[in-house]
Amino acid sequence: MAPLEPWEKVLVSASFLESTHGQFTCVQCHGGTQSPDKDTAHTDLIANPYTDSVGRCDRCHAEIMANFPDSLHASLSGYPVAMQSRSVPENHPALQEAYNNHCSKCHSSCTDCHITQPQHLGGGFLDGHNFVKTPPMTRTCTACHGTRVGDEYLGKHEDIPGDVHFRVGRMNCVACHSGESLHNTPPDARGNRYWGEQSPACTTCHTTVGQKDDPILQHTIHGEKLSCQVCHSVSYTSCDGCHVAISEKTGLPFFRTEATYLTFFIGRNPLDNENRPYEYVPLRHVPVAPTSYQYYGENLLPNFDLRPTWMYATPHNIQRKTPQNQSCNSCHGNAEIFLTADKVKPEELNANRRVIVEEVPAPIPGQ
Amino acid sequence: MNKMRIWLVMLTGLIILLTGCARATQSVPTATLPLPTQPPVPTATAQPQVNYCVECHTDKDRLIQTAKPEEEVISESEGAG
Repeated sequence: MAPLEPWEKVLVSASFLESTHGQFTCVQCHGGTQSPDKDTAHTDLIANPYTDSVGRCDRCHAEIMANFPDSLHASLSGYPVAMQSRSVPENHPALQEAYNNHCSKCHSSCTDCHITQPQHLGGGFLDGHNFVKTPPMTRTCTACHGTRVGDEYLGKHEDIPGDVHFRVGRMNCVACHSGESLHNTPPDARGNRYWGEQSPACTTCHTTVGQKDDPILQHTIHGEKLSCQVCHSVSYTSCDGCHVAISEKTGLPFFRTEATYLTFFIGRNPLDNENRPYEYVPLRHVPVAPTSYQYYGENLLPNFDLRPTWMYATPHNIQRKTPQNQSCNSCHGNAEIFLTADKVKPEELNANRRVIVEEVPAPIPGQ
Repeated sequence: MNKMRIWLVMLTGLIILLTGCARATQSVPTATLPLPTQPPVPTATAQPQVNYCVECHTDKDRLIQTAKPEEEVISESEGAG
């Protein structure tokens, strides 16, 4: 949607003043001073009470706030883990500086989902300062998770249909991603969102999959060898070579991504994880390169090869019928859809040795 | 003398009896108070302070007049974020 006008961003509706949250006085949450003069009134103003740690959310929502600061939405702890795992401790300060300048803005607070649009869209009230219990999908969720989730889910790529859960089911994000899972990340998943228990899991709704009464033979044949997305997702976005720096002209941080493209590659599961025991999963190229942070120092990722650049993926463009599940041999023996060595950049072969498929499953005779 | 005593006792008893009746008569309400038919009228108090924040932030025209124009920041970022 178009950015809001400056006045529109801060226009408080009459309904807010009658709401529960509207019973607080303005200065109780935002500081500032009661004055008819704008500059005086805005002295020491706290635009986002949660961010400035003088918020009142926890006074009533203590149960949520107890764990929210450790959630991935609030802490973004997956970023430093990914950066540091390719590096060495002496490089951590430089990487931290890069993270602070380029990555930390994606942190989200209570207000970023329930009161305003994300700041990178220019901010502004969602609904006249009313607290919106369920964040609107396209103005909050996919405003941040756009390139690799929103565009796939909503079907914005030409000739690639949107996710069946959206096209047919008209489901929004919270239909699967509960408030509990968005507010609270289990301790074992705080460094990698794909580490803890699968939540949501496809089988929460599709309860018969792989069970005795499952009428689809392929589900029981493949069992836990394949993640659901191997058979039910279609081409999704991959990116290459993101580099970050500070502009000499404006002093502002910026990034440049070398390439963005659509692929569908099945590879070996990079996770050694009992919650995701699959042998094969779809893999997405993440936009890291050995020189991604070189603006902040030379050779900051000396252990680049310790982590694949083709990573575990759960594309949000699920279809019942896909090119690879048309028949057994749409997949078996079809080297085009497997991440084989020839599809990996030579300088990344070592990093991806664990996920590259060396031997494509053989065609099934007579099929 | 005995007659005098009898009369004195009877007179004392009569006084006590009449006094008791008089007290009983006083405690009985003579009439019920009328019930209020209108809610109480609030007593005027000091006018509340003007909430300048609300006054301004609910006034669209005033916000349009006073909002600082946002400087357009041309991002040097390229490609998908």
